[in-house]
Amino acid sequence: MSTSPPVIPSSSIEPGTLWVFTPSRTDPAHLEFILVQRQALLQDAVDRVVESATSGHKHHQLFVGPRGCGKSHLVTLIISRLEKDDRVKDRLCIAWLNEDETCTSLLELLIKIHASLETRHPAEFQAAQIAEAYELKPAQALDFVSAKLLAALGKRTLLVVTENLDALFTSLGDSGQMQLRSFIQENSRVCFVATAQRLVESLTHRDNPFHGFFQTEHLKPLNVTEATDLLKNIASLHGKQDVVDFLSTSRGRSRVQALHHLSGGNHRIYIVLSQFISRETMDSLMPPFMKMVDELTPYYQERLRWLPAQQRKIIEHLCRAEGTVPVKDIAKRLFTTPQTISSQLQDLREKGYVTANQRGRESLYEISEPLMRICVEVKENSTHEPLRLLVDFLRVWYDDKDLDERLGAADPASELGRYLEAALSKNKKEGNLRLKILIAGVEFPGYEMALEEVRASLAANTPECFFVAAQCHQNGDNQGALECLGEGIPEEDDPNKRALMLILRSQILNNLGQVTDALHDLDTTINLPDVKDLMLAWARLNRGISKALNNDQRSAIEDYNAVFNLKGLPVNLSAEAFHHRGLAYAEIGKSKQAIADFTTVIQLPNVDRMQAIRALHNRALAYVFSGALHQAIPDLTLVIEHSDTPIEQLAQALCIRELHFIWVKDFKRAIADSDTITTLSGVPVELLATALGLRGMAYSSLGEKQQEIDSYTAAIQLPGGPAAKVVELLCNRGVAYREAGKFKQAIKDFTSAFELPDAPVEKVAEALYQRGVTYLQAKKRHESASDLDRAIQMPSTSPNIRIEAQIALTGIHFSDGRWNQGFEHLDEGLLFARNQPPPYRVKVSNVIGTVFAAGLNPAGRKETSARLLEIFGKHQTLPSLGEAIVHHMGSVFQAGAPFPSTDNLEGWAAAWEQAGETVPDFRLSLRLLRTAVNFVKAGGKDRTILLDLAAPERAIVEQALGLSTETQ
Amino acid sequence: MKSNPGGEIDLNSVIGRDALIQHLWEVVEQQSIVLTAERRIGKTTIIKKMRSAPAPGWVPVYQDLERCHTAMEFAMAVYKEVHQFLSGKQKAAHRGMDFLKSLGGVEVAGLIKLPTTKNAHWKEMLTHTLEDLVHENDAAGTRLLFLWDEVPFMLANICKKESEDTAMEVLDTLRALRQTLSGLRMILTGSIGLHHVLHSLRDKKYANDPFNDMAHIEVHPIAEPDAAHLATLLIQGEMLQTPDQAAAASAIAQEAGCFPFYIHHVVRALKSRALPATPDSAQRVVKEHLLDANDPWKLRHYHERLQTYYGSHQPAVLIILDELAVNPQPPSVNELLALLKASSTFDDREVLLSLLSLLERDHYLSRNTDGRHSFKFPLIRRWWQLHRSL
Repeated sequence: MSTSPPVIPSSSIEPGTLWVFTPSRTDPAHLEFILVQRQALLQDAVDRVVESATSGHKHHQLFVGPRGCGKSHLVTLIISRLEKDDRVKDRLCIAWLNEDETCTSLLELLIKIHASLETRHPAEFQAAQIAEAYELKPAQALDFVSAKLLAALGKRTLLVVTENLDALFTSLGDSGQMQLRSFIQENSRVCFVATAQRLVESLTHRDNPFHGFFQTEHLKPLNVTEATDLLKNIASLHGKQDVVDFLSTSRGRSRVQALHHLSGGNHRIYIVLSQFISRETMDSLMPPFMKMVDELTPYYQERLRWLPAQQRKIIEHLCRAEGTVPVKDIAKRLFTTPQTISSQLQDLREKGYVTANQRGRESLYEISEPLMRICVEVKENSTHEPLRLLVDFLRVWYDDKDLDERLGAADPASELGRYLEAALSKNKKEGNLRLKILIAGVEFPGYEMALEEVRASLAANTPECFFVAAQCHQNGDNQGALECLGEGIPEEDDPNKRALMLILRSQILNNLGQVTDALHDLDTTINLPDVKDLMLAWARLNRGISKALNNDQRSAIEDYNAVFNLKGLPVNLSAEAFHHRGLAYAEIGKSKQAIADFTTVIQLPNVDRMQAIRALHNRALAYVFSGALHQAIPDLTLVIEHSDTPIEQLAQALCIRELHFIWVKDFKRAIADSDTITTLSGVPVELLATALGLRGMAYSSLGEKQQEIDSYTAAIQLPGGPAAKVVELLCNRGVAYREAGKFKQAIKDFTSAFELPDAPVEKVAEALYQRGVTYLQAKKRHESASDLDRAIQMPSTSPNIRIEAQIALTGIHFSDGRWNQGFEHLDEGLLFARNQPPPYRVKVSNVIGTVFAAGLNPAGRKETSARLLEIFGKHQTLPSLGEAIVHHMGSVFQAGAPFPSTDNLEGWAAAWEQAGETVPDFRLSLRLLRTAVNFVKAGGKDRTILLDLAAPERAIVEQALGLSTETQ
Repeated sequence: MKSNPGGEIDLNSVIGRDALIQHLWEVVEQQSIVLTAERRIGKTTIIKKMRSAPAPGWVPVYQDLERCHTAMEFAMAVYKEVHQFLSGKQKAAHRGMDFLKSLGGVEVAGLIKLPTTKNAHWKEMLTHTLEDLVHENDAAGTRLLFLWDEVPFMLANICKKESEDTAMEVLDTLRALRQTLSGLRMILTGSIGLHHVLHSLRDKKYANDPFNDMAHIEVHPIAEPDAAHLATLLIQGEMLQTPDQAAAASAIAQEAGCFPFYIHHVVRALKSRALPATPDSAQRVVKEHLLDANDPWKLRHYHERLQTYYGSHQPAVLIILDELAVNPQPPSVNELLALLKASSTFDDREVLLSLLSLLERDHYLSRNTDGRHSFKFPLIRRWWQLHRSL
């Protein structure tokens, strides 16, 4: 490589010339003009150098990417901007080393840095200053050059700009790298802007001097929009407004989209092709294209050589393939097992050679850089056939008519003629490549099946702008998609093609939330004359979906019904209509009809298996929502066991089944389902958190406290978990800690729960209540009362928590002898209690225990009992009180000997009997209490005492006393 | 201040190290120091800060010794600094200069020319030079403090280019000089643990402990409030959007385990991805870094180096680290031994104790007051769990 760029006579350079292989020779203003994607990155890099020059911070920046990805373009602009930046004037010296600089020692590197500085800063750096070094031995010369360089640098910062740092480091070797790092460390006046094609070991290995030294940015390839912008910018630079306009049309977009498939987003290939796109003739294309091939072939061959043999074979196979390839096909072709190939592919993915696309649970692989195909093709092409990439480019950019015209104008024996002929002949043999690429790239989440039918029946005649719009849409360019369709729809006379585009536009409008406009397009479609039933059915289906989005389920159902009246529809479309009708029925609570529709889908002959899986899944959900969880399980199991189930559905199915297993107390299988979910990748965080939360509950039921807590912890630590879920999990873990007697951790969790930003108010109330209960158990009555009071005051508190908090406060006040306040809380709490399920009764039994232990005299006990009876009676909740007094006596017995004195027990029973003698609804409870008291009074061993009660009544007392019936 | 992972930090912007530096100045009054820490924790920044703001009476000289490949290169590097120091005081390094001349070396305009065949005399050169430093210096004047960075790299270079014996001799000579020249002070540090250099030398029958006269001081991650302060400055320097700067800074500090290097990395990643600074985004970025197959923080090194450092004991070390990564309660040594016995053929309490001690020195583990071990850095523990799918 020459040390300085060759001088090009200015007359030979056209204005706006872009140097494809040496962007540093291009006018920086032009590079600025065409820059896409990297504006922020560029300014950030410049700012970091500025900070390096104006402070003690020294940034070392490294940009990594394959050949032709725009590294030199970026570096040229960084320098150009720095040269004009007043902030670094007189504070920065730039040494821009030549590409592929070879230096085997620090001394050589410093001499090259000096040489570069001589050109850029001739006043301060002259060759003569270091001439003497050549008379010295290397060690002394290093000291000499280093001292001269630093002296001339003064207080300024030295920016070393070097391309292909990986090559430089390789030539420096370990010893040179250590010298360089030492120089940088000791002098604190150097910063770097470097590029590399890959990260070599000297940059990445932790034991090497430059480990972690550089701020590394991996440069991304261009996406379609960025590539279009780049081409437009280049055309603008050359004053080709017609090209700019063309690129904005659906025809222009279709070509760029197809081209993108061939180029893989490589900057350089777009710049090469732009030269041709902007010109009338094709003569200008061949030389730069061939030069690019010539340059890239050894590069890719070298990259292939770096690989182990088996990985090289995989890459070669993928290079020959036209599209994505499943693992099993590669394994078959290479006579090995899918497991072996999977592991090699994983490694190749990490090295950046291949990319994976997911289809169900299957991974499909392709080459990350499509240009790598060139290398295999050149290697295998011994007959000088035209290169596939260029032939394919011609097929993508031109229609057959254009190719014919150009072939007519070209010399058939010329290289151009051969390529044009090859393009025409390949089109004839294999069809329209552009359309193929566009069709293959179209996806409609949720509509794959219906689209497949459309693809099959219309592909050949479908207007290109439909596919272009569809791709724009899936690339997130909705505006572009609407522009294409806006251009294509009015021009289309064929009602069916027009219908197709209108349906697509409605789909895009729906996604943008413009449901009214979407409905308008669908109304137009349905009213078009001479539209085939297929189009009509698809339009009806879409209109139903739009209406459903507008919450007009009944009207949506009418549209779905209309689909069924149309004849000759493909099974997948009918399945879609049944499926969506099922969803609409489920939405309006008609589970039976919903289940019937999902069943129809499942039973349709030849239905697509993905549709069947989805229907099974939704039928299971319909069963769940109709309260028949057990019926959902077989469906869920089928969904789980099917190999094509998408991850989200699979995780959801596992989660629901886990819940079912918990309900039926099969905790081990519940835990197994949860464990399966955690092994899946790509599960939405909320589902994962739910699964782990349920696992915590399963462990809780098994009494495995630590695993329970660990499960909640794992769920809490998931990044991005929704606040409501995190609060719930923190509360669950808090309860688990409390049950384990770890009050501090429990209180910490409840506090974190209600302090969490965005926590839903009802969850905050629950966390406060739980903390109150924990404080109570930790004997901190004051703090407990404060939390419980706050929980009650919150309007969002649920009735259940309200009751429990009030009853807990009743107990606290009773304990402190504030009887009236206690009764007031009880009165308020029971207001909500009438229709509530039993759990709160446990808390009532605690209150009864407080009264029992309060040391009241007989009159006091009688008065308190009477007051309790009055309040419970007033709120029609006497059974709760009755159950609580019996339950309390059971607790007294279960606490074991010594029991309270017989006087005390007798006094307690008598007080309740006197207070309750006039309350008929309480007589049974009193009888049960009396029997239980007599049993305990007698020492808790004589079970014949219980025979005073009839069998059903006796069973209640035995249960309260914790006596097993089997021992009778 | 912009995030600058791996780059040089402006010494006026070093955060959270004042107390440690003060401590180092106090210790160095009494004895020389070996500064230890995990890589990229900021040792070099600390000694450079000492160089830029020395305590009264000290003239610190920073030298990155990885450039030295022979003992003579090291001796000459020391000579140049001593010569410069004494010249500044109108004194001269007579002994060193005379010896240099006796070898046929000359000094012209500050450049030392030495016949390359005289490498064998490095010891005398070093000894004379350091004697000059102590004896020629004015008694009440300033003292030179050597801040020697990347000492292990230099020793490895000497082993490679000369011999293990020479590397051992360098260490012994320095120790002997510290013993005889009471005013001589140095702070040694490096990216690789010095104990590993000794370990590999011991394999060559080197039995001395050449650092047993020095204070061993470990550099820890910075304190949490300092880490949050650093994160705040970086958020501001990068002009990241943030709804709650304090919460974001605190989360970044915690997520990065209070390592300044990783704090810089997290903020840099937020900037690169145009993400706002929030606890969620910090958590996400750290998790992505920990899970990234390309291992951008090179944490896989914690696993990969085990084979080199622990050789045939690697399986036992893996069992120990796996257990400590998942067990929230640090187990006792006996419990660890029981675990090892149950899951391998390992059955030697003494070897276990020695492995645990090495794991401490390699910054994997720390011991609590009950003598129980756990992962030293929560960030590494978290990575270990993910990396080993525990």
